[in-house]
Amino acid sequence: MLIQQFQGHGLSCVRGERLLFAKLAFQVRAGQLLILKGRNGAGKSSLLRMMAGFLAPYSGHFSLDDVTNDQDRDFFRQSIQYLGHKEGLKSDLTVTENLKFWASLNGVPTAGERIQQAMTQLHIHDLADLPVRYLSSGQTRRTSLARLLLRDDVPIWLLDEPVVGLDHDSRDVLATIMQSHLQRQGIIVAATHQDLGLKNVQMCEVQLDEFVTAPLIEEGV
Amino acid sequence: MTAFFSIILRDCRLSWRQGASSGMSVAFFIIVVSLFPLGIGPEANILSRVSVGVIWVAALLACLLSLDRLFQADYEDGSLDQLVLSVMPLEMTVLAKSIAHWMTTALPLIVIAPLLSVFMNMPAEGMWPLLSAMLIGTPGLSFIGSIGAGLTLSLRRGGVLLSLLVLPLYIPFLIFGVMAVDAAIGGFEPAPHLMILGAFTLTSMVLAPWAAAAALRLGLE
Repeated sequence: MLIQQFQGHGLSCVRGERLLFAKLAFQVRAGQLLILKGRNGAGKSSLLRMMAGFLAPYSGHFSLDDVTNDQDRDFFRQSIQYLGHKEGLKSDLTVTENLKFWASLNGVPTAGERIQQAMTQLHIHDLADLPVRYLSSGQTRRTSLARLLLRDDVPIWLLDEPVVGLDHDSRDVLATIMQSHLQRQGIIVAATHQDLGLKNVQMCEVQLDEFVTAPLIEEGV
Repeated sequence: MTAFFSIILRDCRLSWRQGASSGMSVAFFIIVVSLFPLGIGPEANILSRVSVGVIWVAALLACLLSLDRLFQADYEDGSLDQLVLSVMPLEMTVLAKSIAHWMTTALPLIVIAPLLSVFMNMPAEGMWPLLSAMLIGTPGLSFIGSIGAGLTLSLRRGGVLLSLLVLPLYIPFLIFGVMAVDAAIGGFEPAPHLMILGAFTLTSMVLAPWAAAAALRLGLE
């Protein structure tokens, strides 16, 4: 499954009767990284949640190649992996149990092997049998990053502040993971303030602050 | 299908690790039922007259007790986002979670019910009909409950509202569950009542997951 381009057209977001951004458009091609920037509360996370389909855009739409999100929700859902602020891990299950569950939920083939590989790559293999509640926040973050590796055939990755809580080494590992996904002609959209440490990748940026246009509220968008 | 069972397995395992939720429902069930002899006095005739109703009402309330955590726990730690984005349709996820809720909440109640029926001096002819009625009817309680749990997802104190939403829908289960046992005690055939009860459960199994999934999608916004 390869997606050539992921676009957004005329997107507006309203949260709690407040217009966060309006008429936002973006385009990202296979093998490119899109970075969302903006001050706190500019709507970076909201935009990512919109892309993932959790949040309906107030106006506008997304398209993957020629398919829009109104036409085929399932296609969108299957082409997207989302990693948000919350890790989505069960604290009472061990690292392996968590990963095994996500693998079988998404029908990952040869899950056992791939979980081993992912854990080795992210240096969490010695934590395999520890319940997630005993992990530090960086270790928890790495466990949820392992999910990306388990489904690396999914073309679009949406990452919300992916480097938060990671130490220097883990950042490098994440950069390698992201780089190899881009080399496979995948697409990554990341909301971040920090440098991701990626080299030689095609990067584009959306500055959300530019789309905050307050007078639009009076015009009714 | 593996994904479906892996959700059931995960929820059962979580409930087992946390221990408290299943145990609490059972303890609540026992305590509520044993309050009645203390309240109405130890007269055997009266107790036996009200026994079936008391056991059913206590079972409904015990079932309700753990419903608010059905999706809330997953919502809080971000697992719900991942469940929604997974390859499996959300309706099936809801169905799997409802079944897991039934296995961890209602099944222990059914196991303990014969003991309480003796405690309440219920006539022995009612024992099998009571167990069959609970086996047939309680899955419906979990299915219908999932709608309420979905609707109250993002509310901080949704427990009371959940009861207000769900309890009226439990009335048919209560009526036919009690009538099946009363018929058997009175020397009639309990089968017609059990069949109607089964019809309610099957209908709720088909309809509730759709309603609950729609409620969850709204709740995630």
